[in-house]
Amino acid sequence: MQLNSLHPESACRSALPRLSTQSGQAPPRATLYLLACLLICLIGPGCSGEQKEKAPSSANDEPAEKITADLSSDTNFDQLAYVESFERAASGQLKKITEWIETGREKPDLLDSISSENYRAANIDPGQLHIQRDAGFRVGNLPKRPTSSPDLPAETGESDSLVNTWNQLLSPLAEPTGQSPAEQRVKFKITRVQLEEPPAKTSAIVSVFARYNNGFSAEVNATLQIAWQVKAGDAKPLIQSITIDDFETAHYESAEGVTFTDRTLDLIGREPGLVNQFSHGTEYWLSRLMQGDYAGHFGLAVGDINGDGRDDIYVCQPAGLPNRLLVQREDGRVEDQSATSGLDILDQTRSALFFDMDNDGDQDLLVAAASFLLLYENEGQAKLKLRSKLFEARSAYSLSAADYDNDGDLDIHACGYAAFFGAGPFPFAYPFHDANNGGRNVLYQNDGKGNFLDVTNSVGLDENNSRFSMASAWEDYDLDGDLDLYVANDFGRNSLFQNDQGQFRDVAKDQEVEDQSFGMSVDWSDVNRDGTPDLYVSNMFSSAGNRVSFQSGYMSRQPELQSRVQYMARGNSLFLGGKERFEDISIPSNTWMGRWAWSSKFVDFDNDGWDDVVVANGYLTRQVPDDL
Amino acid sequence: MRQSYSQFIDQIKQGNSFSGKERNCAFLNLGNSKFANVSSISGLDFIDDARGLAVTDWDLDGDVDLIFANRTAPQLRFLQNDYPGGHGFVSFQLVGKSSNRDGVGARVTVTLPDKTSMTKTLRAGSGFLSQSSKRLSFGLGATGQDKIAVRVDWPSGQVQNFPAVEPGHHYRITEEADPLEIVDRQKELATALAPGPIPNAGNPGTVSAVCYPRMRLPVTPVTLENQSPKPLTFRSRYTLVNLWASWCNPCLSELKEFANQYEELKKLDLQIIALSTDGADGKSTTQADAARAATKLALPFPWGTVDRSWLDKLTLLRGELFGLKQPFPMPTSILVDEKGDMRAFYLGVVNVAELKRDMQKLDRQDEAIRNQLTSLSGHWISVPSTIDYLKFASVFKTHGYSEDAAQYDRLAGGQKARQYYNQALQSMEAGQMQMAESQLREAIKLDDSFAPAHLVLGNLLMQLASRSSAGGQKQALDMALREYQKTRELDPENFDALVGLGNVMIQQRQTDQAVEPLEAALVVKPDAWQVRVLLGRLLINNKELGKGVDQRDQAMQSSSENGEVAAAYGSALMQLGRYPQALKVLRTAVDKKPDDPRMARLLADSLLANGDFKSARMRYASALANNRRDVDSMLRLAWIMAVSPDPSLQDPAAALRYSQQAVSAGSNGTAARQTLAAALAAGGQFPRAMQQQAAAMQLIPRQSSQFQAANRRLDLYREGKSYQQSKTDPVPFFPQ
Repeated sequence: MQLNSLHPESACRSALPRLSTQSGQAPPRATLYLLACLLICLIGPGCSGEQKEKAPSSANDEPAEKITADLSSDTNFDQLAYVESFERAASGQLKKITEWIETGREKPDLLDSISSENYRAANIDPGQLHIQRDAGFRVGNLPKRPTSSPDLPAETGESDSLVNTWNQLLSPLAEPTGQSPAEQRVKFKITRVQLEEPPAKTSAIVSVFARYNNGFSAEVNATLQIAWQVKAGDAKPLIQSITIDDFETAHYESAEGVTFTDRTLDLIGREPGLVNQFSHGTEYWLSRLMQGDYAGHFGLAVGDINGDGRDDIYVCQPAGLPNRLLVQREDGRVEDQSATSGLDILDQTRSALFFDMDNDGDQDLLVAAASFLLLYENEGQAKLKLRSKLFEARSAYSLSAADYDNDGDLDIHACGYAAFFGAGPFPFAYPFHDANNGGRNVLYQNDGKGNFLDVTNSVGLDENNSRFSMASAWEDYDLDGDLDLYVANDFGRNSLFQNDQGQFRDVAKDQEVEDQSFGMSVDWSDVNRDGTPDLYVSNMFSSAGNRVSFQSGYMSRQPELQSRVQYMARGNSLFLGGKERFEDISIPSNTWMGRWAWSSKFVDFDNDGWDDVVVANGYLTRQVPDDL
Repeated sequence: MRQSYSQFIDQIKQGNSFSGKERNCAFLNLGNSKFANVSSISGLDFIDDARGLAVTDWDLDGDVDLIFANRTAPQLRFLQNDYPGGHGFVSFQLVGKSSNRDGVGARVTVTLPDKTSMTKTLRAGSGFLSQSSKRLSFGLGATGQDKIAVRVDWPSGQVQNFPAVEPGHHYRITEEADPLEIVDRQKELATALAPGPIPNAGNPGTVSAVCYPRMRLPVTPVTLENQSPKPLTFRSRYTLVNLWASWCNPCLSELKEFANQYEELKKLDLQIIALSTDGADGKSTTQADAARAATKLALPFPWGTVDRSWLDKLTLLRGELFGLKQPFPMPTSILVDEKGDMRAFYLGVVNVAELKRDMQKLDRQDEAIRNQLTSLSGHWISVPSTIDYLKFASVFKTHGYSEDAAQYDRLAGGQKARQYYNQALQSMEAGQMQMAESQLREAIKLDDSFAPAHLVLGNLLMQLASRSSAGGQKQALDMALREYQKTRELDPENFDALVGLGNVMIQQRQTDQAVEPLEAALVVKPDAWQVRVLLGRLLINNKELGKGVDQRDQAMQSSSENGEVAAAYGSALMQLGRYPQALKVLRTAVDKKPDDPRMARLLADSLLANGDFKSARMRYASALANNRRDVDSMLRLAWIMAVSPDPSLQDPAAALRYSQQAVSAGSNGTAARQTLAAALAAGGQFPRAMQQQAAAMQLIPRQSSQFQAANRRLDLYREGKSYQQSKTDPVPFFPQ
């Protein structure tokens, strides 16, 4: 989901139910509260219960008016507020565990202070780790155990100390020769809160990482069920038991200690202009430019612009900052050829695409500017000339090229995101879970010489074509010889346009890949090596969204809508192809928790022949460190 | 819902994070449709607000590297893959023949010795805002050096099979061609890249920002030194509106520095107005504290106090302009021009030297300012934008500032015209001329004093005129003339309008009147050689030869490298009879453009005029060899063969042949007839020569020097003599 450049509206002054503070904790901070409100509002008028939105008539058949009318009657705002305030309190307590680990586990008082007197938990025996794989990376899992079972396995014994439990949990992080870690990091995320019957329970995802000076590093990723003792008054909740839902540990050993090493400074260090530009975030530049877009949606393209066999990089930048062409030299470092190539464009540009538009053997460049696409023709020696502007695709996000009509030249697909052309109010996505009032995506047909014609409508792609599309990617998913197109949409369902000899039809529903969520990115690959393409779509994972949408008091009489909102907060999706329909293996495959995800790619980073997944994520880190 | 959403946006505008500091994720494929979370040990879990991600084997070492584009610093991360696992690899670069040249959409299947396969499709664009390498890289696991089988399914439907491919190489596969080519990196990298991210440049000191597009300052009621509150007005070229407070020590030192440099700043026509926020900023100090501090500092420039609402307006302003709805830090200064438009912001202590530099920079053309808003320059594709005053009117109205809302509403009126104008520019670019015309007329309707709209409409009408029928053309030209005249009225030194005026008048055949605007244009831009050339032609046409040549002389001086200018100048000199000078200039012209036949002809003419019959004959002959129908060269060649004093060049028979050929090709002007006469005379056929010469002279005005020269030749023929041209002959060198 993206939330930039909105037209200012009057602040919400409606009578939101006040958050109660039954646990005695301070009320959640405004942003947290607003996030909860936002999720409540996903379907319906939310905080302005009595003010009905005038819904634009949309293609979907949901009775929007009915939904908006129903929400406030079946959502228990007091319950949700209590959940959120309890989460704050519990997170505050878990921070003590973080502190205990990061200070070398030498202050048991920290854990004692959050542990209930009658704390009990089953022992966790690292010996039970089932090594799943033993080459390069080493990975182990504890077999999943039923969370509902009140009985602890007898053979493992019990512990009555939180310190013991945590020492057991962290034991796989130990370096074999007993060194102390050079760096440790801990992160908790509470994703479920159950307060309706005692004891209070939270489900928390915890990640712990330890890195040692000798090149050994390890991480533990676990989902824990934590039972809390809740006392009356202002007392903080205390942990009374911990059960493991999921537990996984992974080791890596090499000279560098991790697989990837950041070598950017040496890569660009000879170009002080580049260092200056990239050493600051877009916020820094935004404070110097009145053009800025704090959402920071600016991408990059890799391609060989001078045909020397080495890849080069083109980086897109906000309005007022020049885009950069980084041409690889023989020594692997880059030379800044932005100005000499003619590509130091100051316009706001979101993305770019290298492709040979006229089949003359060199890479031309397409750049998505705010009001048009810019088509640059390569004239050799990394000199490019602006050849034309394509006006149909405005406010474009991701670009892709493919020969959809198999006539031997590359055609272009541009995602139009929002019907927003720089002036006037930003269009409001409606309804949030199934918006179809965004910008128009465009398919341009190439005449073979680099002249492009908008054929979107005539090939059938104007169906579901204004859904705030972020990204598209081509693949012949049905292996019939022509390329099909998957489009990832913000605020709702995605499309899989099946190509039948140049005519498209949206088969996402039939193929069960609508993935109705906040789609940001799409990539294809054959992850299980069965010869058929599989699909990875990134979305936004939201802890708060998970906490709120799983409450019984959230849309209690609309279970179908409730489960839809739960899905929207779930995270990324991995769909296996090859059967009659795609199969959603996001949860069992453990690829769903990509946080607030953006570009996500299949990458075989250990060259074992199996494509791994890398997720770029994080939405807005601004001045006020309110990490939701 | 809309309200809660916008409240949420407002929170972000106020600087709140939202799902910030999230760490990137990496999931390791375990080969059984399960993945392990290796985000940290992979080294990829940076805390950036990451957006783009591209994959490439950058260093061609067999494993893929990653490049992230981030919203936060550093904006770029190049992550080199150091995986030591000893797994095999192979990669393919595809070259399509029947398929698209990039091979996008091709599926490559690699089959390992254990008969398991893996397939990858080549894509252009995937992920989010990202494109990865077009080289398809395959990890092969622990397969050793055993050969693998490779199959390519091209988009064209063709299939290529390579049953035994050695792993460990980078290959190029060309559709319809065998075999595979190895394209491994020629040399190992001499030095490996050193580890290290781009350092975070950290928190800067003073933030200075150009206010572009410029925007009117909100109404600023100030209480200046105990007078009653009234809105600020701006009389100097620039005014620095400085926000300070008695509790803010950096503010006080800054004021001291301003006071020290005040005399010098005044010379630059810079006024300073120091506005204290004491009593309005929520701190415990009062206006009395401000007065005490100001007295102590003995400020030589005006100072005053502002109220809470003005600070509130500035916060709104900052939210809208810079996406951060927070009060400006102290001190903050705003540079305002005499119109009251904000031109620069300084968040923090102003560096006076920088301020001076900025004032100079701001005096430049808008385009130059726009091309370098930060320390980093580049170029814009889109047309300049203006501040969206309507938006500000709405924002200020919402917050109850009706006076500001009214000010911005008023400014938006003129701006709407500019919006139409910008739309018209885009329409023109998209070839929608009628749309552009109506948009420009809308713009003019809204703001008749908006010169650029008149100018562009003039240009548009000129374009339309060139495409219309005679009647339509006349009407379009008349309208264009009015638009240019209007532009000139509004902006007397508008070069484009002046040239446009000249152009219309030339099209309307009012060549006398066209001289004036073109001369005026040259006053504005003396270097505009095209205008000089045009004006030169005009003056020559208008029989003001001397002036015309003079223009071309000046054009030549300002653009000596330009062949066109030289040719135009040379031909003018020829018309003026300054042959030696013309020869020199035309030689330069031919040097610049050796392949231009028109210039070659001009040069030959000037050779002839200078009496260099031999070189001239050679040039005409070669021109004729290039173009058998070149009547002019034919005639001049005949002329040389008939009248040259050099016996080796004389050839009366050929002269006769060429001149007759020219005449039968339809050339029956005086030049052709006189040439024929000279050829006849050279061959001794005097009666016929006299007959032709007399006929030719019918076509020349008596009294002209041409007529006299022709008459002298007629006398010679009468006397039974042929004519031989000498260098000392009075002009012209060739019958005209």
